[in-house]
Amino acid sequence: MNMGCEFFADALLERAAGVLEPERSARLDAHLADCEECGEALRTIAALKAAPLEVPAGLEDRVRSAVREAARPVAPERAGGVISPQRRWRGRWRPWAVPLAAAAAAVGIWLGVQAPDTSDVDQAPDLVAFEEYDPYGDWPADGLFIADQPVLSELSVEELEYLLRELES
Amino acid sequence: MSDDTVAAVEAEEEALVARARAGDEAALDAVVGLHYRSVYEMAYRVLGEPELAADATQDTFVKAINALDRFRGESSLRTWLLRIATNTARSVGRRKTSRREVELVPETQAATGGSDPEQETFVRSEAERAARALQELPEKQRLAVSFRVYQGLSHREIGEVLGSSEGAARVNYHLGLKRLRELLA
Repeated sequence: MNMGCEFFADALLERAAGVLEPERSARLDAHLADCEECGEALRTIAALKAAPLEVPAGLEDRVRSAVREAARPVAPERAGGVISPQRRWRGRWRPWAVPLAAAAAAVGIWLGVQAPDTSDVDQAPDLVAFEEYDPYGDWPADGLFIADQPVLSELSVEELEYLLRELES
Repeated sequence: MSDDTVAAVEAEEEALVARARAGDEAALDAVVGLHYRSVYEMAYRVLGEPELAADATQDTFVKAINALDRFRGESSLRTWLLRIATNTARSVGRRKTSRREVELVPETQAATGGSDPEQETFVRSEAERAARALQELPEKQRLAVSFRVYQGLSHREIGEVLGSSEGAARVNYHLGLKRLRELLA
């Protein structure tokens, strides 16, 4: 691929999608007359375009139901209002969990694994292995949560600071 | 898109997200309706299995809704969702304990559109070969090609989704396309 080919990379996609405007289309045709590589690239893109992925029937409804369920407020555990789904775990923060979480943090540090940078809040959460346990249910009895640190990734900044203070004391 | 149009689209998305955060079911439905195809495609391109990809799609949206407070609009909602989808699908892929034989012929809808049966057969056959070859590419190349060709994502957006630079996304796209040409030759 030469510099000229790079210039036509977007035009190939637009041609395959049938949206290339006439002037650019003429320039692309002139280029394709001399460039076998771009001709092959266009045929490849066209072949891909001819085989769009089939989305399973009913998937949209299924996802909508799951999302509505997830967004539904849970019954308040104490007077004072509704607890949103993402706050349920935090609402259940209990003192007995501190030593366990501190141990998880210590093991994480020992393994050289850094806790997620929660200051970068626009980043997608690190949800690796998140679904291997129910974060809103009982504390997992196995050790998976330590290696995959889902618990730490769910803690708020305040909770992480509290843990660090516990570790330092 | 003009700057005004971009600003209008961003404002619309911001309003949609605000309503979804407040639990507005119509807004939640709209978020799903706008993005579930892209999320499913991402999951499928990572996993190669329709059932697992559908599960990963559902998980992605549930996680996203639970983490919506953390979305501040510094990237588009679509790239944010696709990043969660990538993490989710990779996690599902790693967890597969009894790895089944990966479906070699992806479920695709070969678009023929012609009335010539011979031509139609040829187009379908080429489309199936292309879809099969796509699944043989290394993951980053596969995803870069898929999202450039099928979703129209820019190299910058692909980089955001895959956690790489715009340049790396561009290289992965061109290498993927080159490899596809070789596989289809």
